[in-house]
Amino acid sequence: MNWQLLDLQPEPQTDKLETITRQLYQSVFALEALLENSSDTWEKVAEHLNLTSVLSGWLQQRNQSSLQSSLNADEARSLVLVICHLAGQNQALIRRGVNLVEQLTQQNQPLNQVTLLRDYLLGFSQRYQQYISLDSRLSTEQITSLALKSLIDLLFYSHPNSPKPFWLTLVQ
Amino acid sequence: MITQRYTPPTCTLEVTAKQPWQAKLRGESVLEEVQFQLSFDDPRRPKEEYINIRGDRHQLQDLSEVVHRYVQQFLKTPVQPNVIFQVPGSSSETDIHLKSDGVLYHHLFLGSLAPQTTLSEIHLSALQLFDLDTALQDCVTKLAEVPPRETIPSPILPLARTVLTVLVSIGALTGLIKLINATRQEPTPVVTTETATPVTPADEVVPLPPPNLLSSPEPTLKPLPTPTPTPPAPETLSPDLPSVTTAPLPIPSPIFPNTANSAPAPTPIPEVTPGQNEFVIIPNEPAPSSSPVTPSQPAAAAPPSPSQPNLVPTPTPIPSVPVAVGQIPSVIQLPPLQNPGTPVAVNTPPPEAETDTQPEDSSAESTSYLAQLNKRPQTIAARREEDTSLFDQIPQVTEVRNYFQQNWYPPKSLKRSLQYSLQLNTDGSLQSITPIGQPSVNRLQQVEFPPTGEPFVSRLQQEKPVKIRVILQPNGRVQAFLETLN
Repeated sequence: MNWQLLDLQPEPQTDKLETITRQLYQSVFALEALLENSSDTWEKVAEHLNLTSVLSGWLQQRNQSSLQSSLNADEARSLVLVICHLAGQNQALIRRGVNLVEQLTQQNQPLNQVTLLRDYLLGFSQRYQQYISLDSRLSTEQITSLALKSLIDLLFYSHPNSPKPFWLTLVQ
Repeated sequence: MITQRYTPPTCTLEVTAKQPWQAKLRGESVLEEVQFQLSFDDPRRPKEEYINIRGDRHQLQDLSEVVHRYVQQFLKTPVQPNVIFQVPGSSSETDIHLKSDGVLYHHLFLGSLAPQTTLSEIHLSALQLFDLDTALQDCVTKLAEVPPRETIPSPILPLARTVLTVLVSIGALTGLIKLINATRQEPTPVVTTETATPVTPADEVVPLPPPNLLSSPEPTLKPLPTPTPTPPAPETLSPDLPSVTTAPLPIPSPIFPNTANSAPAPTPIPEVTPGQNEFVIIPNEPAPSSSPVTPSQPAAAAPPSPSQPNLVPTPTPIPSVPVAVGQIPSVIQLPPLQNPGTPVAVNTPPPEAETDTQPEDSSAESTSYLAQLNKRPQTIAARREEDTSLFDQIPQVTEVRNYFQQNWYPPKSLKRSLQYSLQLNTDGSLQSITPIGQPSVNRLQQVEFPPTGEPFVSRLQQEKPVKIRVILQPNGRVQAFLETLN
């Protein structure tokens, strides 16, 4: 894979890969929670983008619901492309989610009164709690904030030109 | 007037621009007087709350840049427990800027774009910010594909150029045939008067070369020995005549390579070898004798007649310059008649400027003839020569342009310009390539980029990397300019 042609530069610093991985997983969890993804969705998109070979290790782990703590640089880049692709495909649904959040917040209504958001928040929270270690557990409010930020981030990643800006936010 | 509209769900961006008539006729997309109107017309809000802002191209670009930078910052900022979400670095600016209001909302401060003094900021939701950024990015990307107004090369239309060139060529051809016939049929002394007489419009009408020119060169030459007052003329002319006939169409080649030593363009008489240099020089020296050539001499007179070697005994010092037809787009400036000693240079003035320096027998008509030749449709190579810019801010821009001029040729199927943003390391090597727009992404593999890590331009003066935008046009032109210095 010629990353230069896709402009996913610069190369991330090795000590930053763990942080990058965590940020990427937030988007992965957000997409899975919103789309009720099955693990083969990732496989299909990876295959569609010709990234199966790079992501084979990660896909295997995802099937077993266990995730490694740190991706390598190529896996991280590949995951950026897959997330952006999936977000672009589901932009309408992401918009609807953000729209509902805005409406309910304006009306001072609890977010979980709407099925879409309730399922999303619950799904995100479960995945996130499962991923992070016990000693760094977050409160429900904190996870809700994180879930909402991740949902809004997905909206921006749904733009066709988003892989490069997404990558830059990770490595800079 | 051209209007382009971008209509994401919560705002409408409308851009209007004028297209110059020259560009329209050329089929080029050149825009001027770009204006935009941005309407925040979120259908979830009552119409009374809709806000419109207007501005020009620069303000549009500023707004786009500020919004996009803010979005980048927003995406980068993590949500931290017990800390009010705040996107850093955007609150101290005085003009257009944004400020976050939690994760969901943002304040857009309009600065110089504010429609009224009472309305200086707009409260945007996350969806509105996304739509605004999307519309601005799409619009600015599209605008960047359109070359700046200044790049229109010349107001003369290609069609008019072609027509004029054909007319001039026909005139030159007719005149040439006439002269050759005259030379053959009335040898020796008469030739001088023949050449001096201007070719009248009636001559130009003659559409085809006289048949005897092609069919019987030898019979006409045979009677030559009888008159013979001027000894050298018959001998020099007769061997050349056959070669003249083999080149029936002395239309100058459309391609004028930039060879400095090639013969002057206005000599469409091919193959008249013996005194070729002298042909060009003739106008210079016999100032007293040849100057009387009528100023109204039409274009057909521009090519020196084959009989002119008779007129000129040759000893003239060959002025170094007129032989060199320098650059194609330039106009040949012949040395003035009166003072051949003055240094003569091949200047490259614009065609309008050439008239005042116009010398002797090449006359106004012949220069216009030359000018027309120069305005013929250009080849890729000739176009690329125009792409050089005196305004390159750093030498690396020129070097990047040179690289693509040497390494890129447009595929025939290419219909739109390709744009790439190249980020260069300080050592002159390529760091990254960003295709601008979908066509550029699709054609990425077809463009030969320099290898990464290896310097392909000279080392940068400054310590920070630079970005250079390269525009590859379907007609083969290559444009490059500095985007940012870091």
